[in-house]
Amino acid sequence: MSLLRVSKLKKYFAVKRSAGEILLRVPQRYVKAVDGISFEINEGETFGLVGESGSGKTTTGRLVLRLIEPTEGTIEFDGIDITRLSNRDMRLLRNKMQVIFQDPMAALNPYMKIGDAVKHGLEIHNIGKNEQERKKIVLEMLEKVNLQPEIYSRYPHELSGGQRQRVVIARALILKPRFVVADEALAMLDVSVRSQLLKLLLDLKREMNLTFLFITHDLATTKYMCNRIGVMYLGKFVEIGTYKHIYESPMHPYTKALISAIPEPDPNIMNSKKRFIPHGEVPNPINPPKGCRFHPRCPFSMDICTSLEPQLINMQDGRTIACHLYNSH
Amino acid sequence: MVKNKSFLSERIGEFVRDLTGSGTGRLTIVGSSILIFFIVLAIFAPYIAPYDPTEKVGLSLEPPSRQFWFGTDNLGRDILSRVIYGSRIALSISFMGVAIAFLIGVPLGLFSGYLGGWVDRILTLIMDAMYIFPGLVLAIAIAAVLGPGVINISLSIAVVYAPTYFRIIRNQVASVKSELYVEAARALGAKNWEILLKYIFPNVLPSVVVVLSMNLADALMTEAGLSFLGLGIAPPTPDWGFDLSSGQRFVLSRAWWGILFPGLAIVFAALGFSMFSEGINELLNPTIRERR
Repeated sequence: MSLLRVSKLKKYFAVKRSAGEILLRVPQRYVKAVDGISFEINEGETFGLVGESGSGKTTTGRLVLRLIEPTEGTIEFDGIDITRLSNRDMRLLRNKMQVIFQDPMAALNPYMKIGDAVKHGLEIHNIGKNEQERKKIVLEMLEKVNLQPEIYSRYPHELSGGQRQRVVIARALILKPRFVVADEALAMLDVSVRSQLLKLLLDLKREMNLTFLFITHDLATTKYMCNRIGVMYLGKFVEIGTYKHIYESPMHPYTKALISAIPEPDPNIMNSKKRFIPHGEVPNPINPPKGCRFHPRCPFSMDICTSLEPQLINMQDGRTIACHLYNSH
Repeated sequence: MVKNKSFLSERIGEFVRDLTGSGTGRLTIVGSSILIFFIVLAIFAPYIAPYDPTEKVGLSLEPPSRQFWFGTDNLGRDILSRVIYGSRIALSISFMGVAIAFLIGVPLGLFSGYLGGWVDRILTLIMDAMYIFPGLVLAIAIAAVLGPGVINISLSIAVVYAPTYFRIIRNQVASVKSELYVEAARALGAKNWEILLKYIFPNVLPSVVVVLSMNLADALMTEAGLSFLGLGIAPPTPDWGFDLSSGQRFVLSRAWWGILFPGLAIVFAALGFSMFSEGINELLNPTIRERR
């Protein structure tokens, strides 16, 4: 059963015009950060979202939690279209869906003690009868993420990066959410700390039966975390499939490029590996290329790619892909 | 800061080193001693002052002597006693004026910055219009309408300084509200007022504390200016500004003491406030500290 169903979701950010441009009636332009994406996440599943910077991953994460308002499209959470909820109803639903941010230092109020920061969610949603009980719940949660109880009365700047991220995880999970968006949750940590926290997230996911939207640009972590992976390019999906599809037999040229960019520890394999690096920069999302958005950088570009935008089609092996190379099948 | 600062004594030690070890630290010490001196004068005025400041105790315009250290004014009142008692009015009005300005400017700035949109535009327009007025002129206009009295003078000073707080808070809030921890609070389901009070306010408060101490010196001068012009406290209450204006009428009769001592009191008090705020500013503000 799908817990989250997103359909035709769009987010356009208006580009600020100068006074002169308004007077000259230069038309309003938009950054098409997310441009009509649809996907489903099943209960207990982890859906990975990968892509370069500026591909719209983070915007998707914030839209799904309705931290920003979508331009178009619907987001159904547990059968309820949250894009239509009033602010009050949305607030009450927020204990069911939580977020873990990339930068734990920025995600914690520097003037709020750790205990108070983690406890605030309980206060908002009236969990726990009194102050003592809430404190007990917080201490239990801190223990669950392997933090010492002394941390309760510390400030964020007194902790290490890994400890801070554990606090952010504790704050998100103390409300017993069903759905968690992890927005590059491990990206800013040291490699050793990263693997510890990855294990912690996996344990907690099993224990609390969490459903994740796992946003990352680090393909290696998706291997351990994700059931399905969606590859985004310029606000659209180019390929959605299981880890096996994406990692072992990528079909879309962009996915191939991403996979070939993963460093290999064995230099023999590394050198023999066919490197496949797309030329050029990611185009400006204000004015995405006509036809297939990847065609200016794609080595397999055909005539049709410059004029007609490929639609997502289901392949026989279960993956979904948007590329003219496979349209003949 | 690599040093272990977990011990209170360590932190106090560091603070004392900061105070005594640098020019700005010494500035703070001198400034705060002047301030404490005036505060003690104000609180213990009845015990320190040798005479009743509103009673005729000597001849008119007696020069400074053993009996009257600062001399007497045209009505035969002891100027020393009047200067001592005058610190009460000066300090209470400047503290009250700044406090009222803080209480008006800060909440308005919080709302304006957080809500944004047309509310923000209108409030900013009004506050900017007030801000560009010369302070003393605006205070004179308001004091003239409200009439004399401690509360009224404090109010007219508050109107002059409220826009300063408004502007600082509004701009800080506008930038802090896009911080990740504010978004995290929203994701937790916090209400707007909770976000404003628990997440934004503590983060913008430090920036006004410094301005608070700087405005005290300005407020003191504005108060003296208002009472010099006869818009301050009703006589015979001792007040430095008023004594200055009544003293200057007799400078031509060689009675220099009538104007010198109240004037010096104003200068020293304003100097104390400025030195204190300057020092505190540099001690609290790490970006200025780095340059030392």
